[in-house]
Amino acid sequence: MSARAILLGLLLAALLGPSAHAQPAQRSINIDLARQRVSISSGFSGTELLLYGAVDQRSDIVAYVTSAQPEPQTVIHKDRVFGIWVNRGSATFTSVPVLHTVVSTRPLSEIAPAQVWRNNRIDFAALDIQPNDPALAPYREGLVQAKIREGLYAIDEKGVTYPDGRLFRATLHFPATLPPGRYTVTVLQLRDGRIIDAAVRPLTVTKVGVGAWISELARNNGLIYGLLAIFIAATAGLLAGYAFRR
Amino acid sequence: MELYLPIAEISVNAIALVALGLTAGFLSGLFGVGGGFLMTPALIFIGVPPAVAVASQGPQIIAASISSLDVQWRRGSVDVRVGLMLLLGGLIGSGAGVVLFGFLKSIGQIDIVIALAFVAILTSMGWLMLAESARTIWRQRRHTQTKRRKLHPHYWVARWPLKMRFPRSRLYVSAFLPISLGFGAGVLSGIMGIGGGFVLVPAMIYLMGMPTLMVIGTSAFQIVFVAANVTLLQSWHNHTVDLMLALTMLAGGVIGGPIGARVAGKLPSEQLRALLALLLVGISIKLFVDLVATPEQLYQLVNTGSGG
Repeated sequence: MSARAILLGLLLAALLGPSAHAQPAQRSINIDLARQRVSISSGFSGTELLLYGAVDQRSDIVAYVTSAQPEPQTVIHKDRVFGIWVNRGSATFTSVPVLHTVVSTRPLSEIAPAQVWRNNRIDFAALDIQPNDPALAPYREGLVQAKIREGLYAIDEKGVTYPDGRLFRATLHFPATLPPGRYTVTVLQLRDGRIIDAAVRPLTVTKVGVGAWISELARNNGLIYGLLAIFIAATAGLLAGYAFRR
Repeated sequence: MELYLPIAEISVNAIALVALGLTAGFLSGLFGVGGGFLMTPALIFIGVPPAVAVASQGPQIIAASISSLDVQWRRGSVDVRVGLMLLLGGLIGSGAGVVLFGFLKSIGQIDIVIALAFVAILTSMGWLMLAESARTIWRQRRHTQTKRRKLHPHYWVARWPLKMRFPRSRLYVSAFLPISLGFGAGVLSGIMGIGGGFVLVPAMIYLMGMPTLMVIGTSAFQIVFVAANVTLLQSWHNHTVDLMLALTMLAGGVIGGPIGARVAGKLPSEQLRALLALLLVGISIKLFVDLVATPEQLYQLVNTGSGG
């Protein structure tokens, strides 16, 4: 548990902002993201984000991106009824990390004992998915597998490299299914199987452009949105008719 | 070229989407149907959440039906009196359909109901039409004269109360008949994202005994307004209309429609009908196989899109 206590303290320090940043000399790890914001535009089909940093002494690095606001998620279970596959059962988890991607210098099992990954909720099996009811275990497992298929839960055990001395870099991958929201990027420095330092950066994912406008209008003003859709469709249908009759 | 759909919250291939719209438009021009019966399953197949796929059909159906209505109106083959009765039922039916849709979505059964509804409707309509057109083609081959049909058949529906005169179609039937036909088509359009033309048209011919000449324009009249109503209600009540998705399909649809209409003028109508029947049967078989085949994943996430 001590590793976790240290991590929490470090997270707190990082979140406190300027004062923590003002004394980089005391830290053994410094990181930055190429961008603090990921924009989902009309052409969005997933993206990559460069994470880079420096350490005082070459050591293992594990970085993970997770959602700042866990969200509810319903999982359905298909079962056969009269020969047809229907949604037989469903479970709703009230708090699920939307995204959880991990990159590391080498396989996690070589870096530290399994307990470290469990305690810090890095292992998929140890994710903070609530309610943590043993009766829902199959649904929980199904949820994690579905997230892995969508690319929202992923692990890349060769994703962090040291191109030069004490400078490391990692490419964080985000799939096309990435939902807008607030995320955090956490970077852990490990030596001899123990976490010795950590750094955290926020990351915001937003829809931009026409897409943002459409989803805002749809949510806040459904009536106007519907009327707009009808107007465009009717105009297009009539105009096309005239154009082709000539 | 990937296109991000803001309500569905997924990326799809824009070219594939335009091609789908083109195909649906072509079919609607060729057969005088909306094309929703093809589009909804196709969109679900490429990963659009079923709720969004159904709700986003409206604009495409409006565009296809309004240009058909425009043509039929000029020819004077729209019976507004019948159309208004159909519409009365259609507005109530589509409202009920959208509310039912929202309820099924909330209990997580909407995708199964959509699939079952498609299998049931496409199977029955497809085989009926196939049998009908096979019979007609067979008769033509043997050069036998088709029996002269009565002006309008007298089924049990002839005994329904509140009879009304529809002079344009030379009909004297219960007002409840067009109202309930409209209601049925409306419910289907709310739940399945189809205009309901391929159900409405045969029903108007065989059940109401309406002259074939008036049927296409009159059903287009009802479909334009019902599709508009569905679009409005889905936007308002369920927030599942994806404008980006709808407009991309529309771009293909408005080009495909007139092309289909031109091809239709060059093909004999019986063979055209057999072709449509085959298409319906084909899609229904595919959907049925999907329902009975063991799914790859027994646990699935409920993706509702951003509308929640």
